[in-house]
Amino acid sequence: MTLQQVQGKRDILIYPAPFKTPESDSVSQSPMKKGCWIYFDLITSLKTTQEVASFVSEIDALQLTFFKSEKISMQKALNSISTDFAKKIMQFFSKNDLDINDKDAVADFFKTLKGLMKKFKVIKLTLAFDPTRKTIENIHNFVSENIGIGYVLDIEVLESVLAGAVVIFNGKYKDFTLRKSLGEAFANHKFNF
Amino acid sequence: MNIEPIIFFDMAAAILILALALITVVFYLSRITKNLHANLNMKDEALQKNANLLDEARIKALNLIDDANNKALDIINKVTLSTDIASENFKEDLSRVSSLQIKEFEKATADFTALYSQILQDLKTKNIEVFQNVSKDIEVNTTDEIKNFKESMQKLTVLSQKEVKKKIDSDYKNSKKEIENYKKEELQKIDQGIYELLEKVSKLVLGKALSLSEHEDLIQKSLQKAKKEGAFK
Repeated sequence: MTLQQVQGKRDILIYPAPFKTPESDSVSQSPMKKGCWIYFDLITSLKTTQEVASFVSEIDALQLTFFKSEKISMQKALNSISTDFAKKIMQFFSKNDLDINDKDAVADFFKTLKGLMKKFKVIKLTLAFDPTRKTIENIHNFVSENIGIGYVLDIEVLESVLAGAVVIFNGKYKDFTLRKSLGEAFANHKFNF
Repeated sequence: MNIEPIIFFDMAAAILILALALITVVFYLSRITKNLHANLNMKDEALQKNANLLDEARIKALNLIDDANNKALDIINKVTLSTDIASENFKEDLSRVSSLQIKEFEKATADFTALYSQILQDLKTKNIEVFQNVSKDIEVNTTDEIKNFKESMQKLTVLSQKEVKKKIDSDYKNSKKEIENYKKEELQKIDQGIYELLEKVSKLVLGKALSLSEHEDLIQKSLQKAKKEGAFK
């Protein structure tokens, strides 16, 4: 979902915790005038806890490289991280007309981004199969449209659940798996069986 | 034989002339001989006189020599006596001077020994100081050398670490890319494998195979139900 799409939809989108509407942004006191709204694409591109952990690790590596010396440009520092994340960061700076070699802007970027990532809420799903990237995207899009933004998925694979999903959020456990349905069906109709 | 008168007269004249010349010469020679005899007599007398004089002189000389010998003997005796006296004096003086000299030498030797000991002691003290200073210098130099060596080693170590870090970073990046590619390939394989497995399991349990979209649909329904049941509040 692009920024334009979200801006078009933001009246109808639900903004529960963790993120607030762009107008009432209070997640970060970043000096960037555009607030944390500009991070929307970057944030929503992270769909799973693994991706978030990997992204945090990449940011740490990037920070370490970029702030190690005054002479190191961001372009050079980006070579120290994976091409996917480097591309995302480049796109972020180019889209928002920010100077990628401005140390203050970059420091604010990292600070705000880390602040936002701490606000992610985790939906733990237990699935019967290891989902493909496309499947993860579909599930995450469904979550974004129906539950809200600022959620990431922590997917556990347990083949014995057969189909459906176990949903765990904020200590609440909901089992909507085929295994449970079959178990209930067997319990209810065991005499018929 | 007839001789002409003229020649006869010439010859007679020549003999006459020659006879005259001979007489003259004989006369002259006789006179010279007389003179010589007279001179010889005079010389003999002079010689006699000289001989007498020589005898007298010789006698006088002998007398003089005797006197001189006597005087010389006296002088020799006197000199011998003086020499003995002088010798004894000299021996005494020599003995005295020797004693003095020995004392002087002993004193000088004692002074010299003391001086030598003092100089030796000073030298020893100075040497100890020098050795201590040298020891300190060596210590300082060694410390400096060790410090320099340490710094050099640190620099070398840092340089090596940087080189190694560069190498590790480079290898790490390459490895990371390789792992990413491998991961993508393996994930694709696993996705396909799991989906086939799910199909088999679904067939076994449900009697039919669930497609991926049906699985996704079930997951979305699960989420929808969870939302309805207030799981996300």
